[in-house]
Amino acid sequence: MNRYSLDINHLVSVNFKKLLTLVFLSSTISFSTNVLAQSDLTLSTEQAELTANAPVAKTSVGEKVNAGVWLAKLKIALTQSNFQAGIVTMKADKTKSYNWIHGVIDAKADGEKPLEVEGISPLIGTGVSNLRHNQIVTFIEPNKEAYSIESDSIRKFIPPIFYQDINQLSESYQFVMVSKNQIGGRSAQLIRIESIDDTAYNYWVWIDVESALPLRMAFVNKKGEVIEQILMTHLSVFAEPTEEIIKLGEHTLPTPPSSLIATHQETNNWNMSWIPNSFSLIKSDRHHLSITREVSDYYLYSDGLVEFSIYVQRQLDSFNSPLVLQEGAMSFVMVRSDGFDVTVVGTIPAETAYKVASSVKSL
Amino acid sequence: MTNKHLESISALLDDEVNQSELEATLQQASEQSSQTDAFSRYSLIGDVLRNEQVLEIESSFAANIQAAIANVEQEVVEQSTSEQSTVTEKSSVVDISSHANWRSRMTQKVKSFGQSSSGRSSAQFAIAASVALVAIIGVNNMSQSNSEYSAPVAQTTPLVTGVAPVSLGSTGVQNKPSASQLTQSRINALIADHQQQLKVIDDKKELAETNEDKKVIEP
Repeated sequence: MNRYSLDINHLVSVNFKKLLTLVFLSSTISFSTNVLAQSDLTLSTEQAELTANAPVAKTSVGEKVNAGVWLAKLKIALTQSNFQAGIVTMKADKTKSYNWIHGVIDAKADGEKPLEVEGISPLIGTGVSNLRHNQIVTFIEPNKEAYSIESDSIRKFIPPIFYQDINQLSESYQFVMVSKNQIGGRSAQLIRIESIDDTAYNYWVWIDVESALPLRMAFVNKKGEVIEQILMTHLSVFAEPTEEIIKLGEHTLPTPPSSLIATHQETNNWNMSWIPNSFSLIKSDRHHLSITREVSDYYLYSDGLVEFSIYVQRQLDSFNSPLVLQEGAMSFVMVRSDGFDVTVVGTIPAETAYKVASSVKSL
Repeated sequence: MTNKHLESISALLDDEVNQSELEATLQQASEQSSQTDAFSRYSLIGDVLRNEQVLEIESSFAANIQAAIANVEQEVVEQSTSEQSTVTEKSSVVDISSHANWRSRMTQKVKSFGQSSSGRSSAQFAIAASVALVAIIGVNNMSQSNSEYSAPVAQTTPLVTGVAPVSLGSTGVQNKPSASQLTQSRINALIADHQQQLKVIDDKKELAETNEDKKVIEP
């Protein structure tokens, strides 16, 4: 009897696996043919691009090529070129993959602004997809009504600062131009964005020499270890917006709520005696956490590249202070203080987070 | 009793038939599928009562699954169950007889039967009652020794148990700290809230930035 039922089990699982493999195979086949077709296209369009006036910024003769110039090129490429790319993010033992598409559709009428279109959707499953038209970013989630916010970038894997003036970082980071590497058969220039006082992680970006798009990005700790990274798995650059880009541009996005309605109800109950010099307060308020409805005093700090949040809450009965968690570049530190719990969450080293958390005192 | 015709099988398993009855019963059982089914059920019940075998999946349940699979994909079934197919054809008799305990017991019985001069006469009428008893005692046994039976009961849903651990195992961060559930839910809430806050900050930054831009332009 026993053996019999086991075999049935085995049978079922064999069948199931076979089915899975079949599905997987068929999907990869269609995927690879797509890629093949696209890479052919890419070759021809890229050649066309080189001969025609490329939208990518070229350094004018005599201009000194330094890290700043590369980062400026990166911004132009991110906001002005037409491309489609596959992205894999590796955070601790979690891997996520995205399809990333971007293009600029010329203005239809005079006086109108050209439409910048950007879409990011998960390759696997039905997570949150984002669609951006110029400064409107829409979040599309299954079983939820789509909503928009105002932002000049989709905050997914590219730091928002790359869409803005990178020189805002110059007080907290220094830019270092390093060697060229090969990534996915492309030549890439490595630019290191290094934390000046070592309170934040260093950020390394490998910029495609040809398209100036980021081929790889990584958070690197003091010891030079990569702790979180983003990798481009394929890239197709087009001279003109593709059909897909134009299609994405035709969607009507929900209008973002007029921002700054619920603004500063600043809390001044707490004193942070130690905040890294490079970070400054973005906002503070008191709000309920959406999941537990716990009330919390809240502070958000940013150095332009990364952010961290400080939460001050009532004491929990049972936890061993300090509680330190780390996932990729994100740290979570909860510290028991005099009558309250302080939590620091953000893309900063755990040591920095701990120092900040234990510096919070009641006034 | 409606299953009077099954009495002979019950008697056989209870070691209470004589030589001619044994032959007749075996002959009958090999011809009728209902009889072989009863044979397998009774022997299973007996085994469970004697604690010689833990209750397993009902053979008809397994047979249903196999039938369903056979419809979906004939090839695989034929390949990897060439051994099984003989089992299903001859039905559960072969299946049960392959159980080591049963076989040794049965051979022993048959041998001893030849030696014993007379079957016990009182047995015949007790059989029908014993079937009903089996059910009652069986239930009692189940509730008394829960731990022993919990595992095989879980096995009766092999598909579900096979899939469940995969989805449960992928909870990421939650495994790391030795924190209580309360702490855990706070951790999750804080991380989620942090992500939520980040979505919104661009609005404000932008405003500050445009202000700065204006300042730069004006002088």
